[in-house]
Amino acid sequence: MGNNNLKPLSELLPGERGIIRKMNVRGPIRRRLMDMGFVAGTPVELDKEAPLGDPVDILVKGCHVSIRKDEAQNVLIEVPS
Amino acid sequence: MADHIYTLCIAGNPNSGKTTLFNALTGAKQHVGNWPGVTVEKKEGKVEHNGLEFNIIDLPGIYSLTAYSMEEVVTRDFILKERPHVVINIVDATNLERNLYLTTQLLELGVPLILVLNMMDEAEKKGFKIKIPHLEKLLGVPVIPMVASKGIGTDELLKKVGEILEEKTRVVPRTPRYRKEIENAIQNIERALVSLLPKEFIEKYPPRWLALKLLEQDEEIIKKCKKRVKDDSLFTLVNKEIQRITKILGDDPETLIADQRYGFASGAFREAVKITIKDRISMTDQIDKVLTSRILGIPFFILIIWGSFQLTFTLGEIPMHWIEAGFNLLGDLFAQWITLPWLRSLVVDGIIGGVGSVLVFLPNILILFLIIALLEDTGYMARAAFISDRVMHFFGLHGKSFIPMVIGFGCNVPAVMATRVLENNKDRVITILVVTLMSCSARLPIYVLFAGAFFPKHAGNVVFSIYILGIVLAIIMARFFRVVLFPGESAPFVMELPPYRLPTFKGLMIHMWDRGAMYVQKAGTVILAGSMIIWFLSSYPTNPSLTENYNRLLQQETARHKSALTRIAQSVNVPPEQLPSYLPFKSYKEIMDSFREESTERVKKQCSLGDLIQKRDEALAEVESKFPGTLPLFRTYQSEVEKHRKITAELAARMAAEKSANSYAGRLGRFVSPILRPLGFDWRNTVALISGLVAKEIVVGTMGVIYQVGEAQNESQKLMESLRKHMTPLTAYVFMVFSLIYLPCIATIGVIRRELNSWKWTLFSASYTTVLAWIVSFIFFQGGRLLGLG
Repeated sequence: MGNNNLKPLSELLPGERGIIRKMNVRGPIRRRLMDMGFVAGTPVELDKEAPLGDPVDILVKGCHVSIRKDEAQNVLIEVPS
Repeated sequence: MADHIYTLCIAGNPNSGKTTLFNALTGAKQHVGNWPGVTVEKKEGKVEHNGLEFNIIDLPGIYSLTAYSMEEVVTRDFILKERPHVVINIVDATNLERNLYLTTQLLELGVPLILVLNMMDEAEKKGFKIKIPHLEKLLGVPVIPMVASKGIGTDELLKKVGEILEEKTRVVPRTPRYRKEIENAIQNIERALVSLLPKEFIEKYPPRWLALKLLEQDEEIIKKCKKRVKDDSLFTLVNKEIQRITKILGDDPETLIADQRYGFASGAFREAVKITIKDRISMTDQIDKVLTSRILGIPFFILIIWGSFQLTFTLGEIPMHWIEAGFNLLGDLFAQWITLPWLRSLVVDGIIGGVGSVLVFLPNILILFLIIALLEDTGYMARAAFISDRVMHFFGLHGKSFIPMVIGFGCNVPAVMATRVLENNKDRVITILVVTLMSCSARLPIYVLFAGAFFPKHAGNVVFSIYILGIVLAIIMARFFRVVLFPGESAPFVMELPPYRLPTFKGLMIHMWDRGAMYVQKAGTVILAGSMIIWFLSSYPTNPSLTENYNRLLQQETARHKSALTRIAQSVNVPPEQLPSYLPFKSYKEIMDSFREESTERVKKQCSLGDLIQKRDEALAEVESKFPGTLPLFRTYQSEVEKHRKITAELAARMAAEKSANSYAGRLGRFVSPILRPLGFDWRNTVALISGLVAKEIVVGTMGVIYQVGEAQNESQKLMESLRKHMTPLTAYVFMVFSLIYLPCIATIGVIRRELNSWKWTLFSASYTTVLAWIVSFIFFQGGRLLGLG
């Protein structure tokens, strides 16, 4: 389980699942994301993209949370092979 | 008996049914206000149960107890400082795991807590079997199952509250234990806190909780401690502990603590909940397949926004007319009763007019807030933000800014109020500042007048260009404000997309009523005061020195008219006052009237003008043959009546124009007009613009008064003619531009003051728009002249 198969959350395809391994987000938004359930070890699914391609809807701990791709890029995901 | 009022508060995630529970408990007996110093809404209500009297406070919806938002700070400060007797933590049972994260933090405050599992019916449908006694044991607090929207479980809740107050039930909240390194740090910091901080502070803020917050680097708590601890020893200790933990455990304490809180929450969830059905496709997912889909998402979005706009303004227009008509009637009544001219003007134009100008917006506001409540309570509002965020983010705004911006095209007053949907204060401030650039419907009459007078062939395009200019300026200013006023702060967009739900009728009504009442009470006072001031400025002094004695001129004209009529009357031998009913005159008049009527409708009725003239002349000749010699006399009579009407109208208009020019507003207009001269405006334009502060549609009326149009039938035609005499197409266009941008009307200023709770931002909004109006108009005017358009 090295860092080599980690990829940004923003690059998941709709319907694709993975587990959060690293949160490279800084500042108050990190806090906010953690409060919404984005912590290492949590399984997530990219449910859908908004019609214009951004933001994305992430399914985390049973809730739909919409975040911008800018932020999703800094959440690193391990996708089971 | 109820000799003591107990305080209860309801805390929970947004969309957990907090407000539904609050409404179910308090009914209509509630009071909405703001928390002191912030624009976070505070709802309070009273309820009695089994002889106990409760004051219930609905705390704002939050996800956590950090210093991330005003709402979170308000909540934890309230719980710790006010020490409510019982804290009711309501959670969405269908999303128990995530909701328990907040519960964990509330448990850490060490206050008497009751956990309410709301939407138990949905949770059961979802296949959740929740073992309540087990959950009670794991968390150490009572747990009440509930369906708040149906009122199920509210009695049990109040009964349990009573038991806690009578100490029949003891609440000992269980809290997470952290890893050894963190626990050691907590103990070290706790010890330092107890010795360094004043006793009253420690009594309010539990030291263990303070220690946790310091480890989490909570800005608010750091500030609070810094104020009370003089030397650096505490913070040196905290920093040392943070570094030590980060070094040993490989992550900062903030993350580790959040991690373990989640561990505690999901541990409790896994132990107390059995999931019997797996991965059932929910209703919400199915609705979202349509409403947020790539193809249909945007069309539905536009349809819903368009529908909201139409309902707000088209439906709102009907009661708006009633209110207007009602106030006009009331004004007429008082105008008849009161004989003193200054008192009449004060009551009719000042007070009744002012109150009318407040209430006239009420239908729009009620409908708008009903729609907003509907969009929010169903869950569509979050989707609307989800869909529009891409575009709005580009403008430096938030997805949720979209709705206020659209509403702004109807009226800026409800638009400013609609910014309440924005949680982040910076987003709200920026949205409010630029929303006034959305050209509201009150500005349309100005454009119609000027575009009609100066660009009759391209009126539509000209008006459209003004609307576009407003949107472009809003985009530029939003980006500008984002960079200049709130530099370096990215606008986070982390937003839950809650499940779709059917709203309750009661909830919608309460929401609508609260907003309406708030508008009338709070914004109304500012609007009323403002309208009164403008009324005073434009109607005083009542007797300015005029260049001519209009009253005497009017008297002279009346005397002349009377003698002319007498001459005609003598030749037919009837008293002058009976001339209109003199049989041949009456017949002639009827013939002329019906001719006029038929000739205006001749296209519809498909008859030629020649035929109508022939018909008329035959009818006239017939009467003349019966009463010989009366037709020429009637013609003289008719032209005399017309002449008199014209002269009096002109005199009245000239007097009104001179009075208006000499009123305080007129003097002010002349005084400031040099400032607007570089834009090509004369003092008349300036006075009209000043009058537009009450409501922008008044600009047109003032123009009519100043240009001495009077009450002629073809008023707008005449006004257009005289505008063409005084202005060029370029100044006309610049005038439209200025009208679009400058100072929002008094009503908008009133709600901005109310919504931002700050005179500073209100004054800023008023001044930046005016400065911007000047700059943009200057560029258009001088640029136009350089291009040879002036």
